Amino acid sequence: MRKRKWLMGAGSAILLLMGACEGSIDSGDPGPRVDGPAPNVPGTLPPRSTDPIAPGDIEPGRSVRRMTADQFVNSLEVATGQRWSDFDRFAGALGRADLQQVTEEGRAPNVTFDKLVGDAARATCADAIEADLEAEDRTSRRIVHEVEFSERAPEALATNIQYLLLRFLGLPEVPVEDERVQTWLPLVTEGTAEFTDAEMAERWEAVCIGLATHPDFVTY
Amino acid sequence: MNRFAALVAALALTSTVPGSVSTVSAQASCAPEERVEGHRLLRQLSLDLLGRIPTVEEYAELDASGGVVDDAILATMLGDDDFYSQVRRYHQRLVWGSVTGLSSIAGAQRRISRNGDGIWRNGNARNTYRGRNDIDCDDVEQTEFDANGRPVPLRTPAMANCRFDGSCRIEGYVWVNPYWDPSTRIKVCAYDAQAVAEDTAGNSCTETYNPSAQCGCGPNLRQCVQGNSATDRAMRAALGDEPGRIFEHIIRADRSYLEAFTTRETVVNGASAHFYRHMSGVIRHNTGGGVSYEAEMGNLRTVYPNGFSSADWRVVERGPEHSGILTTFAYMTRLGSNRARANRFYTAFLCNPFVPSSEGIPAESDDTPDPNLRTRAGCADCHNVLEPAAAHFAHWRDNQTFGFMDQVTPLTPLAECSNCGVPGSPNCSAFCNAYFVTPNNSEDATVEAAAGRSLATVFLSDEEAEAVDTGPSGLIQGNETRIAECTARTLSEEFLGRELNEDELLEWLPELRDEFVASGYNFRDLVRRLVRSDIYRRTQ
Repeated sequence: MRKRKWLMGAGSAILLLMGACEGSIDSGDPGPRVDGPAPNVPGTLPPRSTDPIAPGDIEPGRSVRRMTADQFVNSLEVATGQRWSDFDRFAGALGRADLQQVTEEGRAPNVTFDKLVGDAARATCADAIEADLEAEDRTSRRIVHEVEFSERAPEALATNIQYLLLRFLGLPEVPVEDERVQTWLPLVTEGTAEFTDAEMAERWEAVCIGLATHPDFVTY
Repeated sequence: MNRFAALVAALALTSTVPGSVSTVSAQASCAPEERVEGHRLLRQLSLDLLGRIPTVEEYAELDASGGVVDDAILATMLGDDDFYSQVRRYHQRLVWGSVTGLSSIAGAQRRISRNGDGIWRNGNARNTYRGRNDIDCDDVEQTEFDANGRPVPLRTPAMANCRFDGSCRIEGYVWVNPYWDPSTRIKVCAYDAQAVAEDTAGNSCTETYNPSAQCGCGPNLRQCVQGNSATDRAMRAALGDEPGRIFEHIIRADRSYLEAFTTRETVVNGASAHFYRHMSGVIRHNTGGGVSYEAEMGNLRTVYPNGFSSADWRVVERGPEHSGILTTFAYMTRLGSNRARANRFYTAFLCNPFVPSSEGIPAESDDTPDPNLRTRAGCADCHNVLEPAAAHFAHWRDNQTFGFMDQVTPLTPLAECSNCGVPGSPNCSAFCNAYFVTPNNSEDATVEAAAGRSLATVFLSDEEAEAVDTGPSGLIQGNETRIAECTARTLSEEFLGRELNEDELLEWLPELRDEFVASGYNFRDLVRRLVRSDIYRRTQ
């Protein structure tokens, strides 16, 4: 139940993030309408004639967007080193255009996307931690890269959080005392003194899932 | 804390942490302007150009360059294979490049499947080969063949409805190493497995599709496929990729973007080469039913000798009738009519979709509507431009078939279609009815004036009808600047994630267009200019 609540919360967060600042839209003026193709005069392209409303007061600049299905699964692979094995099965539901029935890549931050992002994150993070546990040396690990699974010192654990913030979200050199590090740190420090390495691995897996489902991971 | 609790705790963090990255981004996204630099810009560029977030190593390279996304980093990205993967996908979307809508790459006459004994055969050819459509070969190895290599029937039982003088003829099976996996050996009914070169009339059994009982699937079954099998899907996927591969080929070499619409070159891999070499072609131009594919593929045979499974993509020079992506299998079959083909081009590359008048389409007022859509009320808005544009495709087959028809001319009626379907004359063939004016597809007045003429040119002026011989590449002529402007606009909107506003359409877009033209329609240069622009580097 709590998990479901979170899903709704995260979905809402994405929706708010992407939908709240689109600029005001003036729906009163339907805008120019095109009757058939315009003559071949450069510099006269009208606003998209398929757009039912006029452009509105959009500020210059790029809009923050949700990743496409391909961008998401490729990025997840970069971050975790694991390809989501169910991607082909759910690519359409994630918004991938099949170019038959659907010809535009889906970018709507909807509940289906949110749900499948969670599924993909859980699957790939579990595989990533397993691969990390089997890795011969620390440098070839993707998630627990800066420390050993046996590490329990908060200062050392924080360096791996810093590494993951860069790896998943592109945040460089976030100070240890920064909230963005401190917020994640308790997951791997609180109550873990007596943990086995396997239990510690579960904590790192949780951090991985949290980052892979983070609104800042799936948008850009 | 147990595992689930840890997960929930981690997940809950992602939307509640004050000062977290999500808060930072939310603030940034609400700011009217924020210039994006450094790591964030690299992430944005990587997702737009490479389709993925940067690796840790790429962030390190950025740090090494002082945290500035410089020209060297951009050049590396624009040379990366991931960039070309994005280029292909972007253009596949523009042309709706996909042939997954076909149930199979092959017509029913070429589809094979296993029967209950596990023997492969063409279920639709059973009547042709054995005399009744419910009889397969026997599960006995065929050992006896005539002087031409054709199987001698094991038995000829007299059965009801057998079409060989009241008898059927039943052969055994032979072992075949199929082209899709030459390392395996499968049982195939001997008639279906025939690999003879010609039928008794001297027609080729292996160069083009020949439905004769004296022909089979050819060596290694190369002319047949199991419907919707992995083999079938591999061919469809490769053919669906073809337009995007042509764009990539042109863009990689920094050639004019316009060449993507005019070049004779195409790009094939093992699967699509196999299709063009062995599964296309028809023995008669007016073959009805099934799927017909026939297009001059130039030096395919010498350029691509490799096997079906080769993933190596190679450039092939096609015949002179070809026009870049516009005459690919995917473009032609995905867009099943000449009008659909012209419409997609106008929408995707001229940014000029066909839309009706703002007054809407009027109700039909006449009992006998004007057959000329260029003048008919409500239709003229679009068709006055669409019909001459569509005529550029008149030489090409339609309705999910593919091939060049040299029988079509701009104005001259085709003899076999100009005098058919009337009393005292033979029936019009499916070929005539599909592509030429006949009593079966046109009004009396139209037949009287233009019987046997290409349907595509009936209501065109003589000058407009020349589009037939100009071919699809003629759509580029005179539209170069407009294509440049549309390309710049569509790409800008892709990268900005929104439509351009009117100020940008009037001021920024013309600059981009002119630079694109001045660069010789260099697509990578356009991308470079776009991602360097202030507009791209500001986030709402």
